[in-house]
Amino acid sequence: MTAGHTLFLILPLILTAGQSQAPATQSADSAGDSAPAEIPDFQTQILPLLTRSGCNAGACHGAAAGRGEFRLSLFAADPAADFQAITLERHSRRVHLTQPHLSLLFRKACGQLEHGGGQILDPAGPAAALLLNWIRSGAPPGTPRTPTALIVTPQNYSATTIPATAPLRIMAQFHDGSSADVTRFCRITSTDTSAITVSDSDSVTVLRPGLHHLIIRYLNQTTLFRALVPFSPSTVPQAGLQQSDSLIDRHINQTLQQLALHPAGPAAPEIWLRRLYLQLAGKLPPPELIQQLLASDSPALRHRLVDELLASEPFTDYWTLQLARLLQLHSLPNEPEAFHASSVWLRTAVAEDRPLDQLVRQLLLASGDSHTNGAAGFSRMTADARSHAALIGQACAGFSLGCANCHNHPLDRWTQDDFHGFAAVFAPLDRGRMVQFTGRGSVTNLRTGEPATPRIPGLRDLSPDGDHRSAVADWLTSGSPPPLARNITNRLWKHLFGRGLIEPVNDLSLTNPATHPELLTALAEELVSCHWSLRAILRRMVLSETWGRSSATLTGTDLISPPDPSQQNASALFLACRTSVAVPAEVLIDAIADVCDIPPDLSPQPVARAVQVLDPARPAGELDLPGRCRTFSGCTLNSADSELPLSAQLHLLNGPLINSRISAPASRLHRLLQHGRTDADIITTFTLLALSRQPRPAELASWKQQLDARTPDERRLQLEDFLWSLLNSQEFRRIP
Amino acid sequence: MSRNFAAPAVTHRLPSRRSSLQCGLATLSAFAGLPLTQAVAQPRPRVQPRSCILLWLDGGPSHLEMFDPKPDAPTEVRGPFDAIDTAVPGIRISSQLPRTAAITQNLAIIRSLTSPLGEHGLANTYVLTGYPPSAVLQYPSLPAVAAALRPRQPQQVLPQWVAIPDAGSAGAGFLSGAALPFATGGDPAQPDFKVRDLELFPAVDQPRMQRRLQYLEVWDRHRIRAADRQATAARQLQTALQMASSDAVKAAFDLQQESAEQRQAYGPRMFGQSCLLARRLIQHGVPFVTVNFTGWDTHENLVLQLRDGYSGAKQGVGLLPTFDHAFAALLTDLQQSGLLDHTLVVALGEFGRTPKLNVRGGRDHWPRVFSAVLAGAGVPGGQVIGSSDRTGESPLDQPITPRDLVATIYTLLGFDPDHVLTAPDGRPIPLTQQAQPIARLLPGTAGSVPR
Repeated sequence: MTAGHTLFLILPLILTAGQSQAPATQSADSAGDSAPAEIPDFQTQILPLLTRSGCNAGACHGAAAGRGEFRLSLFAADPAADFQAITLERHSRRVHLTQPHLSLLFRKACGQLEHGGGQILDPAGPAAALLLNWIRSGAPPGTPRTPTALIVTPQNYSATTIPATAPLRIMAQFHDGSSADVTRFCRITSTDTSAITVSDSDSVTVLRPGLHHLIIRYLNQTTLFRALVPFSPSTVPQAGLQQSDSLIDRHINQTLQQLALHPAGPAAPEIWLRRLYLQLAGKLPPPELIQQLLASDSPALRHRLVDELLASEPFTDYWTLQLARLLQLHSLPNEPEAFHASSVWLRTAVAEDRPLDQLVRQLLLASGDSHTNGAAGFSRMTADARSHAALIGQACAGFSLGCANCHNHPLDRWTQDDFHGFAAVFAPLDRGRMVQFTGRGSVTNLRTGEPATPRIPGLRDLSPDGDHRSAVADWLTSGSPPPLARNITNRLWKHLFGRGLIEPVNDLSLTNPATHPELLTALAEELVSCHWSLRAILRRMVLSETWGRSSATLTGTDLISPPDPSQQNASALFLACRTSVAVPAEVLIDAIADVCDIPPDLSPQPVARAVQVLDPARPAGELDLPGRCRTFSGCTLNSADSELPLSAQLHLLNGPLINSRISAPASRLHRLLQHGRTDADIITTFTLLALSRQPRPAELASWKQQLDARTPDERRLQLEDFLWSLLNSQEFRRIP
Repeated sequence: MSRNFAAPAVTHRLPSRRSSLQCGLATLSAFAGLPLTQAVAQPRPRVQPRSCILLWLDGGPSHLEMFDPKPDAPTEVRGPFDAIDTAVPGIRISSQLPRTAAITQNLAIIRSLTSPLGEHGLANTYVLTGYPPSAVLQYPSLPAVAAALRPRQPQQVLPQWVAIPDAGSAGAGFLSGAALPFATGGDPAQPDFKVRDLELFPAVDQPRMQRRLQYLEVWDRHRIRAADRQATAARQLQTALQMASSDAVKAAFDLQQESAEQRQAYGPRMFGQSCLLARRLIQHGVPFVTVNFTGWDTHENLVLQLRDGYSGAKQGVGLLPTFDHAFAALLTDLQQSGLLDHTLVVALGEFGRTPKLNVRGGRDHWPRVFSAVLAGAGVPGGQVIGSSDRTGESPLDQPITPRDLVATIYTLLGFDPDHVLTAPDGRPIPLTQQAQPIARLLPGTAGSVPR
């Protein structure tokens, strides 16, 4: 090693030794730190600059293997390692202390040397100047300071015309009490660049009406910027937004008012009832109730219908299925007893409306023989501690912790310590037939290579020994609102409204803005105050005006100008109107069976209805073809636009599922024919059964034309075809 | 670098096994010295969108009993079968694949695939998607991506991806239902083979079906104007109706329309007839066909499962003869029909098998090195890429990961491996990551490698 090399190595040490502290406050001047009076700080300025420029993203130097033999930690998670990589590696050629402009770091970033990432910095710009300044000052490490808060001004921005522009100012507060303007050091991303953008000079521009977000990140802090621009200058007619004392309606309508979106009117009573039955119980509403409602609709009647449905067996069946999927319940090979115990336990809990916090606590803490202790069996649904932790995080809290396996979660606040530490809580669990906490077992923290310290994610470390599962239960069920409440509420909202207040529902992260954050919080707190009752919170939701809205948006004549696609999207998103969703496969099978009055064949599963099939691991007869959810990792509840696979479509058209039922002698159609019912009678009966409504006069007229058979046999065939078309129609397959 | 392979093939007089191996190794080491980075720095050639037949050998086919035999290895490694010469001097494959040996000039054999994943589910995901399985995201498999990205032809009624008889482990991952395959079900070798539900239900004839469609119209006509979201479901139904009422579609799936000679050429078993169906579907314009050939997880009794098929068989009807018969027939057929240049054929499984035979006369899982075969779509034939060591335990030269292979297949089919898909949570997911297409498999790299 030459003397020159040695000098380069020692120089940073000499220079940094002379600087015992970085200035307490970094007040950034406006663009261009030409005066080196303030030495740029590595951790709070240089690293964020690199982050903002994308240098340490997963696609570039932040990749596990780095790029071009230069590796930085992902999004500056490890400042010490990054300092090492930048100042010491490669014989310190990356920073040239006496001639900073010769530094590799500078030259590559400015595109003066071949650089896979192209030109990142303008050599004459303020960012490059800052970098040079830092290098010129001896590339000091500075004093580590951790930000504790990030405040953006304005935080909630509204404008009435587009395009609208506003400057942003972002202040960071640090743990030592200092604060600084870090606007130009933040990484700001738009959730939708066609709607909202941010310029290089940190001013935001809103391009479209609606509610849009920017995600602002600085070191370990994240905050959101919200911009709201209404759709039309006129305000919403007051008649469209009744004053409601419903929590849900108040929040929804307030946002609609701010956005000047016009709400649809209430859905017709029979549509309301169909939606209610299909969403709460997975079955078609009985015709007699439809007729009762049509005869004398009233709030009291509707309340009664809701309460009766909530207390019914089909409700219990359907929600046992939903919870089983959430918890990834499935049978284990050769252990049918364990599955039986777990499914009976779950159904009992749902039947008695056991408070959800208790249910989750029981699941987490259960130990014993899984063949008799149903709650214990749920701990066996994953193979190891990490998967168990990931499942609990996802199912109970809606957190995608698994991303933090190999690196800190790039989009959320979870660190590797969080994930592996959480897994460490579940490591000493024996997942054999006897589920028990053995006190032995650990997971390796991939960051340190050492056994991970048990940890509540994002909160605190726990002692290395001991059973911490009750601490996990405490964490999930306390707070304002508790993570479990927020997650459950969001998932239930998705089930009932087609889309969660936060999407995706498995990613309740800091960088994932809710459409109605205050509503989500309020509803979660409502769940807690209703003693965590599933039925109570569902009742709240289905009795809201929002839930009962029609799916048709107002037509152009009712507005000043016809709605454009983005306004239609926003109407659906902010629930100015409802959106119809596809009937899930198991509900469809049961519905077809009910209409034809011939039960489904679900062998070898020992159940009578498709919604009672809880085990995705074993075949289920007729349920298997039409796009059944068979993955162990579960399907999201009622995905709004679940498309039937082509083979399922063909099966419904040509296969025996529908075809054998409509022509079987035992079928409802044939009974009606035997009883001598008229065509009109038959059409009405089946329309009521399958579509939950009366046939319209125009429809009856069309059918009268079509059903022109001259012999009884021909008539039978025609009516079978009528029924076939009904069961294959769009309307039958949708929840309105 | 790859362009230098245009040196004319040096023909060796039929050498002894030993000397040909040594010669091969010598040639190999000469090339092994060339910098790989230079090869992959070549710009990717522009390629027309091509069709693909993926023959999935489910369970982990033994590389030592197929395309990477080690006849000189100790007894406990070399296994029950011998190695034979092929139509390409210097390339030897298992003696149980004689028909394939006769057409080796069309094949590119990869012998140095390597993966760390030795469990079926994990390995299937890795090989079929190019991504190791992740708790965070279900990646879409190669056929699903191809089905989703490849534009539909104007009059196309056939699906983008047909799976015979089912898709096995190849899934659509986070892609929508549009990327799911159409699974034929059943066994094409059965005389009464019909694709499920393409035929009308018994007692429903064409006129009756017409009436039913008319009735369906009545319901649609009277529907209140509904949200556009329903358009997707309507399209699905339309596609299904089109398929069900299209004679062309029924014809495409109707093996009875093939001559008896043609059917015999592929061999009488399910895999053979499935390959025939695959060729038929490609001919009718289906862009991607997968054939799921199960049974390759031979932990026991290699002779029985791989050669004989049943004990006491005089003529082997096990996995290898079945594969051999069908694979050779498929390639010959594609070539004679003029389809081979536009159709990529890939045969592979999720891993190889243990070099040392186990106590039950079988081999267990071994992902550290395994083989794959490609043909068609301009892939230079008659070559071997990479190699394994003396006992077939590890890659000796040019280790290739499943990522690289998947990237290569995307390139060959006309897709850019860096093309970015968007996952439902907004994450950008490139088709492959940290992968390099294998230059010697791309068209334009002329000639075969003399060995």
